Amino acid sequence: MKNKILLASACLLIASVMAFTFRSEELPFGMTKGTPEIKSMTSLAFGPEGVLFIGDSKGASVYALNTKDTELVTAAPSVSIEGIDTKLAAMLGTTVDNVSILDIAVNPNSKKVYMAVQSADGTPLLMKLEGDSFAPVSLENVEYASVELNNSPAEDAKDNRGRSLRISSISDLGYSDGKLLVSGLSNQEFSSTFRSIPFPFTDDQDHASLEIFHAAHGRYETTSPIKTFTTAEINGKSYLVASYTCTPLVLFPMEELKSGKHIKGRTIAEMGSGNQPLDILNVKKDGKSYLVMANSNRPVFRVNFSDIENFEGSLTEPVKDNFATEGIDFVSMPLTNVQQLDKIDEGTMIILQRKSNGSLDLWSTDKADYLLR
Amino acid sequence: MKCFSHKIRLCSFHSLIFFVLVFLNSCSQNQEDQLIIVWENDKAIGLEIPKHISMENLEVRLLQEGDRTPMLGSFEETDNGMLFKPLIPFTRGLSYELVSGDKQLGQILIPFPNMEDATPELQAVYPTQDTVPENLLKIYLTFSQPMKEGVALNYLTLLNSYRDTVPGVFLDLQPELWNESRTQLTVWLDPGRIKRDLIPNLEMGAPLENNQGYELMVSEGWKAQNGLELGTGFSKSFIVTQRDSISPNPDQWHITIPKANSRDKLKVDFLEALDYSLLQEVFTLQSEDGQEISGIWELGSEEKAITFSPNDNWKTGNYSIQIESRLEDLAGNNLNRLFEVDLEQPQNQKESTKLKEVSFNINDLK
Repeated sequence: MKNKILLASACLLIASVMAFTFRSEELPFGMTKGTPEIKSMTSLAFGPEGVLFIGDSKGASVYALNTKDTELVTAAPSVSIEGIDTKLAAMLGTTVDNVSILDIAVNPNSKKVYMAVQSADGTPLLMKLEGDSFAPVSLENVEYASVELNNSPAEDAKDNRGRSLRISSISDLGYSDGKLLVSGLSNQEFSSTFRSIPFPFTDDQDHASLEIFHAAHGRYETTSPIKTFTTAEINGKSYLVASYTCTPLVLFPMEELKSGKHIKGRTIAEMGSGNQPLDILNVKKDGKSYLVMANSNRPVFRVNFSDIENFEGSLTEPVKDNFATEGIDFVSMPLTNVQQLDKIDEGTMIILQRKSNGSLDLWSTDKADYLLR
Repeated sequence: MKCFSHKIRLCSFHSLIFFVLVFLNSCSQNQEDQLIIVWENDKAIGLEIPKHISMENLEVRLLQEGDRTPMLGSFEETDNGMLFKPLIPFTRGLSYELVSGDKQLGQILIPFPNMEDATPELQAVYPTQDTVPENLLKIYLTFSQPMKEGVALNYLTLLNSYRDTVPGVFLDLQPELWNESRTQLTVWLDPGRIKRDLIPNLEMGAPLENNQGYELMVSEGWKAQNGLELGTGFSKSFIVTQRDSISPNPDQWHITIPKANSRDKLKVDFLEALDYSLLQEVFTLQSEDGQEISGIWELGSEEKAITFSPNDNWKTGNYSIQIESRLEDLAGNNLNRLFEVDLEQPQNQKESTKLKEVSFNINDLK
């Protein structure tokens, strides 16, 4: 009997220890541990505490990955890598024409540079810059959360081989004030969706899907997909600064971006023909704030935010004049063929640029003060 | 002396197919001593390295002049030796070497797939009709194989009637808009040039001009993901007609109502061509009690009509064709709104709804 009591006590003790030792760990941001099935990586953006948002256009989803890269680094690293595509190709065992860098994001805490890389066969990769080299970021057995974007009534529509026809492609991602902002475009309809998704993701999602109209010169009102965007404070008010596939730069008050509401933004500038906006940033240097925009077929543009603020009072009204020529002073920076742009800190940008000698270089602007002077 | 052995073996192991084409430094190698490519879904995802090779200082590299960078990947011990899994699959048509220090232990070519059925073909270009409005917004290209992304504009050219290339017609959008299987590409004509009064439109004019003839050329050489190229070019001629500034109106479509107790096709004639890709998924058919009728929707000629073949015989009663309002015509006008609204013109205020509905009745007399 004594032995039985001892045995029972021992079992109880072991069970108690096990319960405390192996209890399921509460992961941050409602994440789970596992290997996400990411079909593509087309956009990257950092959120809070080292969380990296990965836009998966092919999977019509956004993944939030806990990189655990949270070390606070104040000094921005100096980056200068020539022929980054050639180096990547060699490390991946393929030729340079088989490698594309689809986005770059800098962790605002650690200042580490992350890259979304795609091989010609469609395999997506997340790479991290380590000194002058790169390291793959493993996506096996990681902490992550995800949210599906495709809420179209036809999301289950398939072709006769059972594959979905519709892609809700993600053109840009951003994180602001507890919300993940996602601009999307579709391979079918020509429209603009802009979603504001609370993070941490919850089961009860409010996908604030918006169709955004912009007024061109007050006469023609059109819809169009947003290509890239940023958020900015203008005169103490939060704005979405969005650039469209037809190139106008448009302002929307953030407070008006509510679910199901159609709002009219204000076109503040046009960049001219044959051009695509690629990336847009707001940076601060020597007490001045600038909007910096990379273009497919133009140099990088810079606008002083104070010029935009001067138009206070009519920010939500359709524009009557062509401000590209009359109003906002856009300065062309001596930077052409810039493919990707992000900021390392408030005054330092990281640039992926195809140089005139054909080399694709990744470099930081810490030694190029003249760009924001 | 250096000599090579070529051996090909096919077998299956779990859902993997092993295909061997090996060049080793010794003629006396048997199968257990060879490098073996591990395939999955037609991609070379690994390299089996025989047991006798020591893992010390082992590297796999792309066989090329100059660069000696080791490939990123992982080595795992297996029953047969080791498995090297590269970070991305090996590229077909390229050769790789296995080295230890400066010594090459073997090299291997990743072969192209069987050429006959794997060579990519451009299957269709939409819209298929040979007249398009001057504000045509989209072109779809469908391929027989998943294609390489990001290079479309290197292979697409629009010629005018003088055989000159029309510059800046297509929107250079990155990433490109491929479907999930990368067999269908959406190409937009530059919307900044189509939209009246935007600077691109004022500077360069609309991409297409009314009453002009054009030829869309798709040139050979465009690579599929399997590394093979489009073997033949493709061209499509079309004439441009006037601007389409009218939204499609389901109330005006012609409906051919089938007979009761038959499986005749229901036909909906749009009287104009509509968007190829959207047409395939915006239609559903409901009975009067709101149940979806199962059957097959098929596009009619030149995307001007759609038919529905029910799985079961038609019953008498009222039916409702439900159409998602995002359906567009060739100029991007959808069922709710025009692509471009002229605020100086009086607007015909239509209710903006997610779905439009067209009803019909099947009775015994039909």
